[in-house]
Amino acid sequence: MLFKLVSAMDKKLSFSPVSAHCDIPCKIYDPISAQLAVLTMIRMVDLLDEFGCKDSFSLNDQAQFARLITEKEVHGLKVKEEIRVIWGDYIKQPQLEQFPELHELTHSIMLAASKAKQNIDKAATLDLLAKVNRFAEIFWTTKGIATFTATSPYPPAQQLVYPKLDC
Amino acid sequence: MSPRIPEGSYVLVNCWHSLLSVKPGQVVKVRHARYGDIIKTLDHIDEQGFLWLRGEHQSSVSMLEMGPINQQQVIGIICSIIRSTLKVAS
Repeated sequence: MLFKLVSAMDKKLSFSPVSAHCDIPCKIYDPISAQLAVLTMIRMVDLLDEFGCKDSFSLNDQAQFARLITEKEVHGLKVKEEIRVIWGDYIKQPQLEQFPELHELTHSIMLAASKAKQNIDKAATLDLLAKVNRFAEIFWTTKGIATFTATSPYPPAQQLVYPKLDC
Repeated sequence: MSPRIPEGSYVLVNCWHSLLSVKPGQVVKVRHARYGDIIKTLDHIDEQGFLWLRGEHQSSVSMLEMGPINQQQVIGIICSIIRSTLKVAS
């Protein structure tokens, strides 16, 4: 009875939530998985662009084409999932106060990942990478870890934000 | 804080508390640097005045993982718990 009454008040007044945190936080969060997934999408687009130069498709070409498209899709979903987990599980009030752009940035990553999935569009995948790199930079900063930017030492050789870890 | 505070419950927080009145065993709402706003049971206050919090569930974050809390991080004391009557999947 009392719970129903307070619950009705909550719907009107929106009480602030508080966590009792009884789950098992593994605390293993790293945006590198999302960054690598974007690199995979870029690489798939590069390989798909090579296909566009061919005059005819053999059966094997068609099979390869289907594989490249599938991998681009799968890694687009992976980017979204990895970012969502960090945003949903790690990002809390202190991080939001430090970087108020986090909600908007996360949402823009979701939209950019969808766009990169919809077409074979290198510019769309590069835009997604820029956003995910910014997310990584913010993530490491909230943990007090400096970052640097370097070119990934493998195709598609794009710039990635890495944490500067002590040996 | 399960099973004492089931998920979806409401808690009434006394934000007008005097820090002197915070006693071990009380449930407090604190602003934690890593976990955000969180409610935990006050285990003890150490010689330096730091508060050490504990959960009540076997899988709760341990007191050491939670780390010491300074008194400015205490937002209030839980003075009433309105337990959820909803069935929430755990």
